[in-house]
Amino acid sequence: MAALVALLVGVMVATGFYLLLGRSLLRQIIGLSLLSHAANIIILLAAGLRGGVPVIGAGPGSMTDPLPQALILTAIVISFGVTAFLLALGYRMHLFGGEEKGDDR
Amino acid sequence: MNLLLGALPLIAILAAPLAGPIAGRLRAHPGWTSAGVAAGLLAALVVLAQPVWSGQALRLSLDWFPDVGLRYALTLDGLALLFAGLILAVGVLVLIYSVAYMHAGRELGRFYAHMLIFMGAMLGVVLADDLIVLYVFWELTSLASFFLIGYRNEDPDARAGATKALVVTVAGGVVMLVGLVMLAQVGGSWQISALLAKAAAIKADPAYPVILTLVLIGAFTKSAQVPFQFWLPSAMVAPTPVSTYLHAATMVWAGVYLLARLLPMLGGTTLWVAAVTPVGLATMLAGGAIALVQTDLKGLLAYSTVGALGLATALLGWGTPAAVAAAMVFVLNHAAFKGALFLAAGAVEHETGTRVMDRLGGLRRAMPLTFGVAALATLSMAGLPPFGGFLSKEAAVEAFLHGPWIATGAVVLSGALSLAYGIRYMWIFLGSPPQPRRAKGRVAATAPSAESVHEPPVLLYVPAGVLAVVALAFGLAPGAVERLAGLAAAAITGTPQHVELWHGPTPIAAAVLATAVGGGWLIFSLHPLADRLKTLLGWMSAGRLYDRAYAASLDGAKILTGLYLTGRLRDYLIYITGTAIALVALGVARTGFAASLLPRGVEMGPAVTVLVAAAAAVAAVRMRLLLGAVLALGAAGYSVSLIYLLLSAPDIAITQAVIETVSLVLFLVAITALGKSDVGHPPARPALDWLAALAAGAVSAAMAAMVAAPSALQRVSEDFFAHAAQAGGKNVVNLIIVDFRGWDTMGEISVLAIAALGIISLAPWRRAAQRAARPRRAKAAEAAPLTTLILRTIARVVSPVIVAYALLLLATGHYGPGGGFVAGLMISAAMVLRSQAFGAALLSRRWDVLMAAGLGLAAGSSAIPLVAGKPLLQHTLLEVGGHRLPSSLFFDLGVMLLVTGAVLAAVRSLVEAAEAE
Repeated sequence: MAALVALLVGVMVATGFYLLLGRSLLRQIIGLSLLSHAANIIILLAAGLRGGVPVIGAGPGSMTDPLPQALILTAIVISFGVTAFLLALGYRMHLFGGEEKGDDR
Repeated sequence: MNLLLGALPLIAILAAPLAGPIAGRLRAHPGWTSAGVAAGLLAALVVLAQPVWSGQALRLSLDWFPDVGLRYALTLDGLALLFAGLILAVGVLVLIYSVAYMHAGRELGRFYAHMLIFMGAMLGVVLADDLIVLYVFWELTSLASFFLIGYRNEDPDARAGATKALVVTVAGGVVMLVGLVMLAQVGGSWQISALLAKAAAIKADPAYPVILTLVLIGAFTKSAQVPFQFWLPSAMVAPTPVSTYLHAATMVWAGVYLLARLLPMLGGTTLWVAAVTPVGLATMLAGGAIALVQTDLKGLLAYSTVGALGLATALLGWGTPAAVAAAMVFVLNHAAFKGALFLAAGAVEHETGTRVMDRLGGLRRAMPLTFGVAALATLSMAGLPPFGGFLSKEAAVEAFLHGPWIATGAVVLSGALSLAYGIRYMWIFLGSPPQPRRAKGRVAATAPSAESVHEPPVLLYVPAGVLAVVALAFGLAPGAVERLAGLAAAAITGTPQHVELWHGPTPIAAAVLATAVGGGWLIFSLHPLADRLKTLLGWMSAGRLYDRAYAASLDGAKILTGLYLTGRLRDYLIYITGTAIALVALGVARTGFAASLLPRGVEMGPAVTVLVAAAAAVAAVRMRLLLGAVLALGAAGYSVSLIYLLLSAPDIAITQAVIETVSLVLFLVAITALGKSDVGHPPARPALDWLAALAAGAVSAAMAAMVAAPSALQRVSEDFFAHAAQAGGKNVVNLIIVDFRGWDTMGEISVLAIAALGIISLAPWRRAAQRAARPRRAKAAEAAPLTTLILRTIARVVSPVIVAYALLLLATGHYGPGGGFVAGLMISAAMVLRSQAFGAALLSRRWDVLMAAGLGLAAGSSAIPLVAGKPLLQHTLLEVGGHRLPSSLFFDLGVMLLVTGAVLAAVRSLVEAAEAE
């Protein structure tokens, strides 16, 4: 499981970074979203893959570390905020320059 | 008393604000407040100096950095007293002069603040008894000098002159620092007085020649000795008070002071004499000769100062008690007459608007008082009796009398030179007014007319007059000079020195006088010859080398920056990520890759999910249509949510799923707003981009596999499990968010609110004119097709259910998956669904107000524990009708309201932006 998920992290970083290097602003934002997925998964993997849901009394056996989950939860919401902000920024650039491609030199 | 000594330099530096903001508050002229500070310090110095007059020294030594043996150690002995007195007395006069000279309306506070900082630093240099203290103040004078020379910072010449002075003196200072550190290593102490006791051992050390060379480079750069003299004339772009104070009377003498201070420690050897005296003599003659051919009044004075510094250096190089005493006498005399000459030149420039000597003449009628001041000072500079200058010239000749004839001859010749350029200086008063030249109309236009020139304001000639009268008094009543110079010389040589200057009309005095006067007239009449000397000396200067090195370093920097600063953001992105990848790769390589991580058998469920997510990510790149890319991103997001669920993280799984829905809506709206022109621009360099991207992916995958390896480290969360019961809940993830790490969440929801406010301001809400157009759109929405009807029916049924479920998740978040974040997201998703079905009107509420309410509730609820006598956000259980209700539930409610408001504000702004298209 860990190896599979690690592989997914690699794919998401590669595709996300490739989009970020491109020239279309919307695709750059999509790339950024993929990168934040990858970052969140790495944090979750760091908790280790042992144990069940971190709710006391939810089941027998050990529980997984809840701290990364709390970190990721807020990170998800904040990256949503950043994505929305970037979209608004792109709209603004579109209004004033008609240029929603990133820098094009 | 000793503490007052330690405070002297610091008071001046710390008083700098008195010149700026505080003077403004008091409605006082910053010049007067600064002069007041200087006068106060002078009075303090006079009080402190009582024991020094009887031959003792005042010492202070405080721990500074005890671990490395650094002490804030100061000494006030005869030598320090002479220089400190000079610094403060000339400082008072120059600051008073500045009140009239510096034009108001400029940044006067800046000027006076830097003058005070310089004054304090200079005091620190001459009082320091610790090599590092000395060095710190030494460089501080260079810094203050940089700002003062560059005071007219809109003038490129001022900037270039300031930079040149800074580069030369600071570079010299750094070289000197190496020498000082070596000196401390050899002598085993940072303290100058302790090192003096070990002079013999230091001179015998094999490192002595190196130490001496390094320290001398510092002294020579500061005191503008050949070949470093070129920076001083360039520094004359400074306002005249600065030139007078820094570049005639004090800062340039720091090098001479250092020679005097270190003479008993490093001097007296053949190497010292051979290294210092010839440089001094060469500088003396070069300065005098170039001064003779200057056309700029301040240029003449600058080069004559170079010559004077050369004489003092030569005397200290010679190092006999008589030479040392002569040097000290000369320092005092020079400060008086050269200060007066600079201030008079400033007064002339102030009145006529020019410093070019060819355009000036006959000013004795228009400016009789200034003329009188200049005449007194010039006679002293030229070394004519009964002025102080005569006594110091005679003492200098006598000091070299039994030395090599070439040294004696050079000193006599320099006396003749000073008479010659003194006459040239006086010619602006004595000569006839310049005739307007027809050939050069502009020159005639700028030449001052005799009628417009008159005596300068009182403050411009009184300080100059004081210095000129002092120069005369030094000659008529040499007692004070003899006393002070004697004390300074005694402090250097270590034995009491009785300086007696006036020996009556001896044959030597008569001979010196006759040669100087005769030679002076001769040189003045032949001065065109000096042009050739100037070329010769220009060749001796390191000025051209400096210019070339400076230009080369700028060009080199430009080439170097051009190599990597391409102006393309994508390149910078590759640098940043490349660095990160390289560092992570290094870490992975050092830890080694654990073979245990390789899969042993694959479970079907996770494998399929991961495959779908990966395929979606690749599709997001490959889709040519933006819509396809956005949908692919959505698919990737939902798959990631499933993966979270598989990894025992239901909280983030539901959050991810809901947020993916809302993001999808946002992206779709954004495509209509700005996606028209997007045709999936092919990247400029796909191969390079793919290479970088694949490298980043590979390293990230390796790192992910590494961090997933089971480790022996203790989990950070054990504490959280233990305290869950106290906090009144079971879902530890939710407890961390709203309770254990509540302050972090407070910060995070604030960030979310700020992002939403940013979106509102970037994509503004509908303006009044557009709002008027809304009813039409609403009518259009009523005549909806069948699909919309179906959507409306679903929305009407489903959205209340979603909201109800969201509230349930909020209420039970403490015990199972759920909480404020996901509840807020769900409610906004329901609202978005309704708005899709019934038109955007539903979205036109003041969601920013909801956001503020949520933030207020979260902040307010953090104060509930205060009522129970606990710290902010400490978990508190409230008894409500037999049920125990955690106070953090209110915090979570605030989070929910804020998230709802922020998401809907963002959606609304973007939807309206899209409609405006």
